[in-house]
Amino acid sequence: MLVELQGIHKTYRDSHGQLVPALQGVDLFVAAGQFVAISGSSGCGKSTLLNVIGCLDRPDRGVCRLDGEEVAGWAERRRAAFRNHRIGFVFQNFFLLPFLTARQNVELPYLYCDRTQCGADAVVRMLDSLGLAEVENRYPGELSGGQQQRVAIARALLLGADLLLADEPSGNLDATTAQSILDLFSNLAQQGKTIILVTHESAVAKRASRQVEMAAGQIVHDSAVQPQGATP
Amino acid sequence: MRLAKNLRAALQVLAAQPGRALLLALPVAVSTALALATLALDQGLMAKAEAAARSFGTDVISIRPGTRVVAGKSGSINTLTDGDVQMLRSRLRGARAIEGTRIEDSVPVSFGGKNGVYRVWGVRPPWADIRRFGAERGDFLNEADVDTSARVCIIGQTVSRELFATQEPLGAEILINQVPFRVKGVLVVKGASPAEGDRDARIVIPISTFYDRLYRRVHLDQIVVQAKDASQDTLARLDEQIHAILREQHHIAAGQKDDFTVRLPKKIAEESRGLSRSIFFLLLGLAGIAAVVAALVIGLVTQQAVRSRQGEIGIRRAVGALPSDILQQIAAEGVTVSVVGGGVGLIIGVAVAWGLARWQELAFAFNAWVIAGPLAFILVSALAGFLPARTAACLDPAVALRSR
Repeated sequence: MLVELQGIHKTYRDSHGQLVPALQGVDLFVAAGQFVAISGSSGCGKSTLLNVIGCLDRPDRGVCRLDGEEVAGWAERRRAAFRNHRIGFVFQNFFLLPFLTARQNVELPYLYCDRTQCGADAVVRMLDSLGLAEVENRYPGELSGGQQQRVAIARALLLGADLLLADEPSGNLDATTAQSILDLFSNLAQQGKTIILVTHESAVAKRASRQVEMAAGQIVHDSAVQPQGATP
Repeated sequence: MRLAKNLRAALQVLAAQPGRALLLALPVAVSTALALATLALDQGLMAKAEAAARSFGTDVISIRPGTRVVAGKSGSINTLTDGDVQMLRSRLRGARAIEGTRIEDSVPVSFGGKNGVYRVWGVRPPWADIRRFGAERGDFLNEADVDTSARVCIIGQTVSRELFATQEPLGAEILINQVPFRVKGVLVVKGASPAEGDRDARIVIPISTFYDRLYRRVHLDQIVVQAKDASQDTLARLDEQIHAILREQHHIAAGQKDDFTVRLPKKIAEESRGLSRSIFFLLLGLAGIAAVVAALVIGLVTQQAVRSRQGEIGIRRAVGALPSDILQQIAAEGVTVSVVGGGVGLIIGVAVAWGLARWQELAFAFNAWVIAGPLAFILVSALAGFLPARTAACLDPAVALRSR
């Protein structure tokens, strides 16, 4: 999926009522099939940017286009349907529902799509492809961190999302498991998925094909953009 | 389709937290059961009271002597006389018949080696028409019996069964307080009433015989007044007149209490209920309070749950849930516990009402009114979950996800 952001601004009001600028004129172009890592210190606006791209948040100003379509005018129903079919979210804390089994967590997007039948085959294939077939009936509390993150990725990909937004996906994992999850992202990118990953770890960011660095709500470095005066 | 999926999601949440579901459903079940049992019991008691009033006579007013508390015990005072009956007959407007009676409780009666203790009534023949208490077999008293103080009696069905069993009582001679009486007839069946006890355990004799042969008592124990019609207006007017006439007759000064008690059919029905209206309203009030508690518990617990479930709400929104999906799911949780709790409450309420009806020998009344009250309580509880559901639906998904 093609992601285009132009002059995105977003300001929050904190718990004391103070206005906090989270994004201050962000421009970003991500081509389909790219694996982009956005890094920066805490509070630099990485997650806000991810929420804007994922149609979870609306910018105050600026243009956000997904696959060439301006999303600002979309009604909530269309935004929800777009999240359901085209965008997959992966979070640091996995966000699995603890009272559902691994399989039921993977099936969650089916609840909110208009397909009448839950595609059991697709679920089985997804669980198999991520090595979760044997734990499908276990609850999140009975799974390791890596397994939980795989379940979250399976949930994100179930309906064929072509944009994967990952917010610190390896933040709660040990080094080996984190590597395997990042390998999985690399494979998905090779399969044509657009992946935007937020991290504050430079080692993780280096696994992406493109590194973007943010500070104070702005992009301060983008590996895809040649610095002025530099020779190609 | 979407609604069915959201209901499924709600059921998944409830199944995962059975303790919470039970906490929410329990007050609904209690309020529903209490309301249903109370209403059903009231309906049964009302039917019983109406039957008692009909049996006594819906157009009959009863006047009894007043009561006085002496040494901590309540007893009647002898204030009613034949003179009162004469005065009422001459001055009361709107009455069809007026009769005085003498009554003695616990009179020993025997026949052929069998003994019993019954209530003996001294009456005149018109009493049978007023109280609709004539002879089923044989004859009732006539004026000649009264004029001659005849030793004849009409016995109730209980007396007949206990003293005569399968023998023919008509024409037999029984001893009432050692005085021989000829059985002239057997009274119609009346059954028991809370106000009068077993009304078939009575013996009716001429009022003159009662005085001459059994108990030399001047005062009357009851005066019955039959109205020209059973309308509330007529009965109220008679009530007013009776008070005025008897207070004047008994020289009761203004501000002093009556030395007699007037009971209208409505009062007789109320006494026959066995459960006063105030207790009924108290029980219904308790059921109402339980319903309010149930609604508050559902509302507050769900509101609290919405706060602690922001992460869940956020992830549901992230994978495509609309605000309306969240609203439906959270509201369905409240509706489900209300319906399940209410359903259990209805079953318990029906069982309790049925048990009470059997125990108290009441009609098991189960009509639209009985079911409407508890259903209203269930509806209130179900609606209580909508407000927190709306709060959940309005949550900003980005904020909800950050909260975790």
